[in-house]
Amino acid sequence: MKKIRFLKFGNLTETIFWIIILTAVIFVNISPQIIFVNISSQLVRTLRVQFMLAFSLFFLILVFNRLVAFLPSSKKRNFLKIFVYSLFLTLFFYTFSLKRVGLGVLYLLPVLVSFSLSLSLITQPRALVLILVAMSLFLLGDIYWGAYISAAAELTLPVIFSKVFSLSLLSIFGYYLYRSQQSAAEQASIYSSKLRDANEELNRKTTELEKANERLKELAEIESRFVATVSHELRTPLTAIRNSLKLIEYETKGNNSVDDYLGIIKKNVDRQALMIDNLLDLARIERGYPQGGRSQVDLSKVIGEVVDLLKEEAHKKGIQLSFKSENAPAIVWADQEQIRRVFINLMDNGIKFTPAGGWVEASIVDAGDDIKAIVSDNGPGIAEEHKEKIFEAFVQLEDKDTKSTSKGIGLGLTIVKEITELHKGRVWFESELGKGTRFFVLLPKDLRK
Amino acid sequence: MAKKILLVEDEEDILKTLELILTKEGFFVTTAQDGVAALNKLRTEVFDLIILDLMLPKWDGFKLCAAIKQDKRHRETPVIVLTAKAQESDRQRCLEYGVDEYMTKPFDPDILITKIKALIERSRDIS
Repeated sequence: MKKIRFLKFGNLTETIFWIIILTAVIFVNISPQIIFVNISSQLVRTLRVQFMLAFSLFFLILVFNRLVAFLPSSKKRNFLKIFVYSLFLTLFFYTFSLKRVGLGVLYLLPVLVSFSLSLSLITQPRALVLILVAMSLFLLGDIYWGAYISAAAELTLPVIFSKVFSLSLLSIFGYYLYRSQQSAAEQASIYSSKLRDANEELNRKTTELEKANERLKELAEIESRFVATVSHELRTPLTAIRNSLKLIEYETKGNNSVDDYLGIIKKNVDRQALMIDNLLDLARIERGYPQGGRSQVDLSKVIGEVVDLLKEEAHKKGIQLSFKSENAPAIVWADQEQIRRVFINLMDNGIKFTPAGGWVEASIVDAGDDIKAIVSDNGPGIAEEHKEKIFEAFVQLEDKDTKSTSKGIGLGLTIVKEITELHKGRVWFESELGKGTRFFVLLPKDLRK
Repeated sequence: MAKKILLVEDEEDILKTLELILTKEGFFVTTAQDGVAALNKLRTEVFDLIILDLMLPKWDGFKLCAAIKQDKRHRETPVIVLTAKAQESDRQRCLEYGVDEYMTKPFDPDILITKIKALIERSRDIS
């Protein structure tokens, strides 16, 4: 932003200009004799007239400047200005060189107007001081050479010089003041309109933001309702299917081929149920899991339950699923359902990828401030190139060597990682191709610490 | 004597199949399809166990639960909540309402049966 100053000291040319003007004024007007000047009634008269003269000149320049501003070409404008200034100066000089003091009264009206104008225009103390200095020098110069109006019997060279020079100086000051005030006013109006625009913009933006915020809240609400609805709509039919399967089971107990088919349906219902849980979990993870619902959870109990839950499926696949517990409670501060998810996903993964005849084993180790849970299998292992991305969402490892008939959408481990980290824990693994994989889950005993 | 179970569930298929399963398991099942109907049954009968769906027309599961736990006759009756929502906040609320078991649909009927039996056993031991 441009700073508006009456004097632009940053500009070398202008500074030099002002220095020259001031030096000249001082040089011409000040002399030791000034101190000895007698204060007389003549002086008072002179002062009055000179003040009138100065202000009326200032006023005329103001009016003239306004008129000149209407001219389109700046060259013409400048030419006209020079011409009119010269004319003014000659006129004033001529008028006040005469002995007619009474003529000063004619200037009373413009003086009053110009005085009020200058009061409203001179807002910068520096400008005011400069004007006063110039006027004082002008008057003192007149007094010094005895060239005040009534006493100006003849036009001596110093008189002419003093008057012309001081008047020119005043007009220059006046012009500068006018220009700077005008440009200041223009700038001020530009700034104030810019400020108004900015304000409006700000108001508009604020309203927009408020609306966007409102919209976001609505979206979160919709999303949350959506998840709840989808969850309900996906789970309810599966429940009915499971119940019906159970009822059919009562009827067909002992009929092997029907039991086989029922087994297939059941297995797939289970898989779908798990997938729904994982999908909804992921949706919740992306929204940020609610932090509530934490309590003291016995990890060995949770893992034991999960092993019981998956034992049948593992058995059907010909996989030995076991839990090696230390028979001591392993208490962590956690959300039981979420922790259950972690081990369901880890063991389900193990069962999924381990070929028939293999084993999946869970165990728990007390590690000081933490509990370390391990889920290991003797499956095909994870290839080096896959190791980096197995925790990423929707990554399903396609490896011919594993020959796995895995189904799923690759969310299990993502959820394991998210939940573990939400509990300020850590999950990692060791794996060797052809030998097996060990997943480690480290959970703090008390994450409130 | 057969144990009496009140089953409150608005999904017809689940209600019907679960009723049949529980009957096969040897329970005497009374059903209700909304909260108000359940309240009416509770006014005249005392049950050994109550199975509640959370999302019910008219009175929802939470309100019903509060009513059950405030009623002197039913206060000791174990309550199992079935829900399709599985939201952490729901689980937390259920625990606050004194629900004994919380099961997410699609639950495994075998696990439900095990839990029902365990709860009835426990409440019998207490009384």
